[in-house]
Amino acid sequence: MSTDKPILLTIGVYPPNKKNERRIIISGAPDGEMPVLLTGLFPERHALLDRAYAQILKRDPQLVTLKEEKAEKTSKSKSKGASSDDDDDEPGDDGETVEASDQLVSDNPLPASPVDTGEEQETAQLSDISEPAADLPVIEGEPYYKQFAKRIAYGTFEKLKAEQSEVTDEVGNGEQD
Amino acid sequence: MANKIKYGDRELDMGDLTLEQAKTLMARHFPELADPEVEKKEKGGDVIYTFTKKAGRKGLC
Repeated sequence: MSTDKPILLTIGVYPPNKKNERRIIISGAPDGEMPVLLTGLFPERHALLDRAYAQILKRDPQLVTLKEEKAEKTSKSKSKGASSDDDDDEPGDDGETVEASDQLVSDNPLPASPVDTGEEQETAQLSDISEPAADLPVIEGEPYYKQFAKRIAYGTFEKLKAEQSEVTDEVGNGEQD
Repeated sequence: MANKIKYGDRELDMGDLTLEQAKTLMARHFPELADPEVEKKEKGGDVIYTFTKKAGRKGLC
C-alpha cells in the first residue's frame, strides 16, 4: 500500500507513427517517489490509467533517497550520538557543582537579595493584621460613622427647613405689602 | 538488454522510451530534474541512465 500523499498521474499522448498509431505514456507516483511507467496505444488509455493507479496503490512506497541526503542523515545521527555522549558526562559534573553551591549557601547566612527579604517581612505583617484579634473589647451601641452620618443628614435637613420657612415668610410679607 | 533510469537509490525500467521522453517524465515527477545531468553506464547488458540534479550557482550574479 502506498502513502497518503497526493498521486500525480501524467499522460503523454504522442503523434501517430507510420502505422498511424498514437502511443500514450502514463506515469504516476505519489510525491517524491519513483513513478510507475506504462505505455500503450491511445484506444487503451482508460485501461492503462486504471492499471497505473492500481499499481501505485498496491506497491510499497518507493521514496527516492539521494546520496547527499544519506550523507546528511548519517552525519546527523553521528552528531546526535556525540551529543548524547556529552549528555551522559554532564550529570556527574552537575552533581559536583550543586554540592559546591550548597556549601556556599550554608557558609554564608546573608540573603542573596535584600529586596526579597523585605517583601517577606511585609507579607508577614499583613498576615498578622488580617488575623482577628480575640482580646479586643466589644463596642456596644451604634458605630460612630453611622452617628456622624445621621448628624449630618439631620443638620442639613434642619437647615433646609429653616431656609424654606424664611423664604415663604418673605414672600408672604411681600404679597401682603 | 534493457534501458533503465536511475535516480538516487531507485531504478525504473524505461521500456521503449527515448532519453528525451525519459527526461520529460522525470522532470514532471521530480521538479529538481528540470535540467538534469545524465550519465550513461552499461552494466550486465543493461544501459543505465543515472539522473542527477545539476549543481546550480548560488545567488543571482
